[in-house]
Amino acid sequence: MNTLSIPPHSRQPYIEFDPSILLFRIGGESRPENTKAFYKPIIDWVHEFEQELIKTTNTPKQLTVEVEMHYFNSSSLKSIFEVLDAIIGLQKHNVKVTVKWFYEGDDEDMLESGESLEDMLEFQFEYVPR
Amino acid sequence: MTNPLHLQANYNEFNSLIDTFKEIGKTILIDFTTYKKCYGILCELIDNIKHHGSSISQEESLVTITFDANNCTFCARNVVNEKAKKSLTNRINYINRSSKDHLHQARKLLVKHGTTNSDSTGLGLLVMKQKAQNELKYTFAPYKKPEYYLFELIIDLSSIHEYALDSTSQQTAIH
Repeated sequence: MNTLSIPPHSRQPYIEFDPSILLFRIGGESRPENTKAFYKPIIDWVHEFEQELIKTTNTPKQLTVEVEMHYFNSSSLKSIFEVLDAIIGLQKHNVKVTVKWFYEGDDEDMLESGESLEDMLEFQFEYVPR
Repeated sequence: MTNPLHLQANYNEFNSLIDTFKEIGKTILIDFTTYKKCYGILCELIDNIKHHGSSISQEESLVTITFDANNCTFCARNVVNEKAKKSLTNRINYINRSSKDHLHQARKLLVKHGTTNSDSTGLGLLVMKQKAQNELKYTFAPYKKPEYYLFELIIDLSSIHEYALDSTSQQTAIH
């Protein structure tokens, strides 16, 4: 599969998913005009990636998710939850997933957002202050 | 005694209001976390109007931010119909009487299982209450069109200023 790459915009985050090194990155600001339309291709891409994964040998793999958001609105929260939920779901195919949550050291709001998502996903994040 | 700094924008100026807030918010607010909370509230207020306000009278939509002594007050106004009035009343009252833990659980449920537009309105209101940690105040005033109302939502944050505001009264309309 090709790398999924969406450049940042004032209202939408950058997305990079390089399947060759199993690294998914999302960062910036997320308050798109149409949140569902923005995130649907990303969620579809993860599901396609899952189908590719099923076809390959069942050797253990390590996938890293790096989240470096500055701000996301409440409708993006739901979509980001769905993206992360889909990626974490890849663990059933012998993929170990790590989620690294980067945040500015004095940005308690974004740290709290990470902790909230962690609770919703029932999946432990690694927190990395900048 | 300092005078308030007042920012105001109508429907077509919302993006400019966000840009202006980005420029001045970091210098006025007490810390970065508070700035981020205020920024989040502003974006949610504007999203709610854009996505859920009645399209019959966008010219009535207005968002104001007032920095006054130790408070920052957000006020959002838009026209809603009878159905939205009932829904908003129920949701805001529910949010205002819920504990912090209860709101956390409600947010979790809405994110994991909410599917409707109405749910996303509820999520936005809930997030604003969590950020402000103050009651969401609201009014519905009669509107010139029958069965429509002028909805006003007011959110206060307290003790949040880094610097005293200029002693000259300032008012900025966004154009």
